[in-house]
Amino acid sequence: MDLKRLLKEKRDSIADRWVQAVQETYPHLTVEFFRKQRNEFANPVGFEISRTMGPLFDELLKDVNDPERLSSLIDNVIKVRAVQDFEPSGAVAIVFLLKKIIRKELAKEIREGELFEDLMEFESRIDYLALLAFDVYMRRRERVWRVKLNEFVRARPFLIEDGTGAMCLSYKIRQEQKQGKKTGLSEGLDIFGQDGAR
Amino acid sequence: MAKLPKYYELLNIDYRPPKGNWMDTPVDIRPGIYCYPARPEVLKKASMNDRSDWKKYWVVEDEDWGLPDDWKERLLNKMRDMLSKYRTFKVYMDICVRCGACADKCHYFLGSGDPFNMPVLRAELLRSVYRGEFTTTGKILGRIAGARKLTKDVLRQIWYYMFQCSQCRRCSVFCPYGIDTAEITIMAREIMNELGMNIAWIQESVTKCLFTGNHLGLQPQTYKECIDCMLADIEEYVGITIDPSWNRKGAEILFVVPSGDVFADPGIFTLAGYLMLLEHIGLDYTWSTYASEGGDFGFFTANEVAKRMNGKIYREAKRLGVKWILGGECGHMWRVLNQYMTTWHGPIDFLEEPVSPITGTKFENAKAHKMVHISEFTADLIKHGKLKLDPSRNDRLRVTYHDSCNPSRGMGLYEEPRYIIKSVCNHFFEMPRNTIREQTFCCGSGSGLNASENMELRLRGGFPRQNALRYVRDKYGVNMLACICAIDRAAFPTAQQYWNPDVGVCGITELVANALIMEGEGPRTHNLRGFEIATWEPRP
Repeated sequence: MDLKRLLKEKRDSIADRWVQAVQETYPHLTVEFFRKQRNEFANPVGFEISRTMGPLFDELLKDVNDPERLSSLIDNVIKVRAVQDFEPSGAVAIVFLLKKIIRKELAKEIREGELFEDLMEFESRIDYLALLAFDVYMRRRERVWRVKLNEFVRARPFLIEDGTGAMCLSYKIRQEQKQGKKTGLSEGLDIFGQDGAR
Repeated sequence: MAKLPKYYELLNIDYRPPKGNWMDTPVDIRPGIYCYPARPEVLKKASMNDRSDWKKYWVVEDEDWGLPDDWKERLLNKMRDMLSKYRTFKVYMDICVRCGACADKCHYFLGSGDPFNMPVLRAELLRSVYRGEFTTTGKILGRIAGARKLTKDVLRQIWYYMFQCSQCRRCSVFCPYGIDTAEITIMAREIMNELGMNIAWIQESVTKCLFTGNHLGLQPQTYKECIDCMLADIEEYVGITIDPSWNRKGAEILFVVPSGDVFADPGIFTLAGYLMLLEHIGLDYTWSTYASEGGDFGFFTANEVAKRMNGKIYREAKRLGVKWILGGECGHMWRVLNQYMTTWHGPIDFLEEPVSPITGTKFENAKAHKMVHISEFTADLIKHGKLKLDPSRNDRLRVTYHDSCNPSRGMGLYEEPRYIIKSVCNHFFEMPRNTIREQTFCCGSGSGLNASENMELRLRGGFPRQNALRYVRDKYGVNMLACICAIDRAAFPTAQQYWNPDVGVCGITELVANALIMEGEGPRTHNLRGFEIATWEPRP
């Protein structure tokens, strides 16, 4: 008996518990609401949690993990937690909740089947996911600051030095176009580039 | 041997929420959520309490705010005063049965998961004080009756959460008693204004408006220059020269817009749209550098201030001798105009009932306050075939429409904007039913909360709307969000850079102007933003 098969057998119950555990990081009144309201638009945060944890677990169960896919899945939940009242540790702690759940759910099987090596291997995957979650969290936080900075500079176009001393945004865009220059102004308003969370 | 703590207890990693009664939950004022306090000199200029009686400069995150000794007495007196003056306030304090219908309707609650953002609990913060300080049952039974005394901690909590409500009134749609929770926020803010506890973003605008006529503090010459700048753009991209009139006596119509459209991007392109539209139909109208603001940030401070600021529109209409007033795309401006203005300044007998000089349509809904919304006006023009339109110019756009809270819930403007969009665009897609019309979600930055320092609050408050937007983006490839509110146009580009970085933002009149075929126009290869129509990819 190997651990992966056990995990696959218990997939639904583990995923459900994971969803539940993530929900429980919110105050109890909110948890009640998360469980009651099933509509995607009336309960956007609860929906993101319930649509993410299952597929994330499936992805971990695959033989080879795709970091891109893992990042984009965990981003569904982290993007929201990054702007909520969580400390950074609290925001990414949701990944480690899975360890607790698996150890509890499969305690007997692991002990009797002496599957500790398998468990260590799978938990390393969870650790890897935690590092990805940390990256995603930081990217989101950087994004918050970039958005703030963009807003600040957008209200003060004269902060962008182009040597003409002109302050009018539409004038600048026109100048740019005439000179065939591209500084980001005519690309859209994210004047510091379009990377970050995009 | 003493029990050893668990490893995670030692690390003190905090992901579990506090337990217990909400009254015992201490308030944790976090940066990113609250707005900076108003500067004393700005408050003083507006003849409001400038906190000179406080013991120290107000630093919101400090435990001790240095409130004046008689703070409690003054706040309670103000509250007593308002309870006797405003019947609604008294009724709203008394009748809530805590059924919870509103609890999960607030975008700030949905986005933050913080139960204090449930409208019922936000109101309960103030209601518990009302019970504890003003009702006999509350005084005797205390917590059993849900009552408590006003303490410094309670005040901190009330202040923190009353500035996390954007007064969008989505919750009041669901209240079986019709309690307008926005009204409770309005009252609470006015009570706290007694001690000068307002925020900078609101107060700066209020004071500027009192001196220059608009929130941005644009002097008359600057106001005109901003518009001149757009006229130059129109000349370049449309090939039409427009010469609008200023402060002209004897014009038939006075045109008032939110000043955000005059200065801020992308609102300024909506302004260019107004200029083209009104030129095209040959309307006899005038701009005013005195009534240069439709919005009313005084509405977020106190009733008297709101009245003072808003009065200029009628005074200017009277001075210029116009027949009626046309208004631009703005949010709370229209709630104030529809629901407060005639009470403050009425009856408005020096103006006439608005009639469109182009189509002859009587705007009966504006009989009392004599102001017509540009979307009503434009929809009427289109309906009567007065505009030549080429919707294919907007073909690169896949548009969805955000019902701005105040025009939709405050004046019932649902159909006109949709009718206009469908007439000027070939690709229009609705967001899900429970996120539009009367159930629309706020942008997350209304009622003066559009400051940059409270970015986390704005982003999470905007999440329910952005979630619905993501849905139509994924499903239909939507790349443009149209709205009819200046705050929306300021707030959405920022929110979308975080949540939906490939969806742009525009006003409806901008779409109209791009599709409008004007007499004598040049080759329309570029849109009003100066981008080539054939290749433009909108960005927030």
